[in-house]
Amino acid sequence: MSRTALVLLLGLLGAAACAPPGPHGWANAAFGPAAPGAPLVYLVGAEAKLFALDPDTGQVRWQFPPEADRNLTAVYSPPAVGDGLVVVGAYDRKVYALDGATGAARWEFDTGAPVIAGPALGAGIVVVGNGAGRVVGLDPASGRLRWEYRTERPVWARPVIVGTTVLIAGMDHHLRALDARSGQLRWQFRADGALPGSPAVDQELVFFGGLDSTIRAVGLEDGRERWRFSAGHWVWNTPVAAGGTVYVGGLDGKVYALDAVSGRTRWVYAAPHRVKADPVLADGVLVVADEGGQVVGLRPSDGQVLWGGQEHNLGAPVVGAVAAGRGRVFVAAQNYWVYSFDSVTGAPKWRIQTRK
Amino acid sequence: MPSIGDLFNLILFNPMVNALLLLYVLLGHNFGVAVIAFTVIVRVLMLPLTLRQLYASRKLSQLQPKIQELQRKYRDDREKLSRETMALYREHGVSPLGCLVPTLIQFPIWIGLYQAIVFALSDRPEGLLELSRHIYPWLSIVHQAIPLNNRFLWLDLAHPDPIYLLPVLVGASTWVQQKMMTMPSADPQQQQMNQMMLITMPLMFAFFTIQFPSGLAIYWLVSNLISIVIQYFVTGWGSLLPAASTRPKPAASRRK
Repeated sequence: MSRTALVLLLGLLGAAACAPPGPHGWANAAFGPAAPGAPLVYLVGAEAKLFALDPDTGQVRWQFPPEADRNLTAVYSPPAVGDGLVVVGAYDRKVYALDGATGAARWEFDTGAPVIAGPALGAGIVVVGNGAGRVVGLDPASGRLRWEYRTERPVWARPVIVGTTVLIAGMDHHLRALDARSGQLRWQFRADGALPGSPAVDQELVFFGGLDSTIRAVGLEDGRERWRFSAGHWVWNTPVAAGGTVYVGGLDGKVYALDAVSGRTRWVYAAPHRVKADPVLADGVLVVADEGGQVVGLRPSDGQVLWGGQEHNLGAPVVGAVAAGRGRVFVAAQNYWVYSFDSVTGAPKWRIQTRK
Repeated sequence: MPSIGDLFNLILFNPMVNALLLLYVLLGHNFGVAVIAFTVIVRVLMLPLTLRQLYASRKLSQLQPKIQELQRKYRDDREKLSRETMALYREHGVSPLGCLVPTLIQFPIWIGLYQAIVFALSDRPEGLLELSRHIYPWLSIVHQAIPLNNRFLWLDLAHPDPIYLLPVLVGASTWVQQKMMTMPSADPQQQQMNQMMLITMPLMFAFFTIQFPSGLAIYWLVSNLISIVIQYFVTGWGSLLPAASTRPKPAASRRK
């Protein structure tokens, strides 16, 4: 038994060495403008710091926290940008609001549990959910709590604010519509799986995917299901909806283009790897990044590859949001590199490393 | 060409994690009960190897007096000692590695189970994203159960036991198991080693149980209890209850 015990102990130690580290966070990009006349690219790096970059050169204008040896533990979602503010949620339980032009801290709010979901900013409110299922509505100027709503399970998806409605996708399988001013529930829809990704809204329809490997459309006013589409694996990103088409990627490695009204397939693109990162429409090109680090630009009408060669293989997973603005796309990889490409031609513009 | 990691996932880890999740769904979305059931199933499947290990250990222990005699006789001739010792093993059909090989085979099972518990109960997106690589896409009832309910009794199965009861139980059951396995020895050095292992092993396992998720500690505890039952039917109480050991042993061990 002593020999057995020793061997088992070694095995356990070996297993412990194989255990996943974390929390780590995911690199995400967002595009301003946070402040008038100062459009910036806002990047949440994989090292859990927020950077404001010049979109033309990639130069770092400011970072938060400003101290080199401090970070936010882990950040999983892009910041919300608007009204002169950049708002970010972090695994250290807090929501931070910063001045968009200078990075100066305006306020912070302790939600009581790790924040995986990014905040939403709009309709005069900041909304964010946390890992304990608490959804809070905060005053953008002061960070004071205006209302809160409780769910049973974590909220990992960024809320979406449409008019006076806040859409919350939860890990308890529910998509909910709350009143943005009061936090009162308007309607809720139960899917067959957890909803870790944010919904998208177009033409009074809400589109979302989940861990039941299904992409759904429900009405914005009543939450009634209009159609559903079965993907090959989990759908864990935010769809893009425009021009009557919904574009969404899945962990089956496919990018689906579905008719927004009927859910019928328009085309399917097979990516080299799983697609977790949120795609983006930029200047008439659908830009998709996959877990293998390959970035491609697709023609939205038929899914044909417009660009996406070896120079667009970043060599590290891209799992966060891709941002677009001023004719560029901005992609952050998990290896602390950020890349900028021309959105139409895919021509590389610049790249920087946020952590040596 | 698939890597060793790919083969490990294909043959062992993926089936284990999917089986664990399926048990979770079938047993009322209770992960603690699923771990217990999984432990019982694994131990039943490993029973032939476990019995072989126990019988080999017992035979080896019974040969200790003869081995010590050979060591006294050939203490100045290592080569002769080695030959005679191997001849003794052959004569009695014992392999010195016989008690080790079954344990080594369990190695990857322990590692796989540990990772399965860690990934299945992960409360971080990285863990869930990694789990998605290992769940069979066609097992839809498992997908719909995620995220798992990690509460069981007073425990959060993703984290260590906050009241330290499990480390005490794991340490105590390890001690009982080890005590039952330890055969009396006339050699003072062997006695000292036995005593040291009897103290060190339970303490070490208890210490590690403090560090690891309580889901794994439940597996460990249930596995120990099963081992104690099997041990009893093979060798009786052993050194745990020496007086009871002098009474006739259960039928299964008498046959051997």
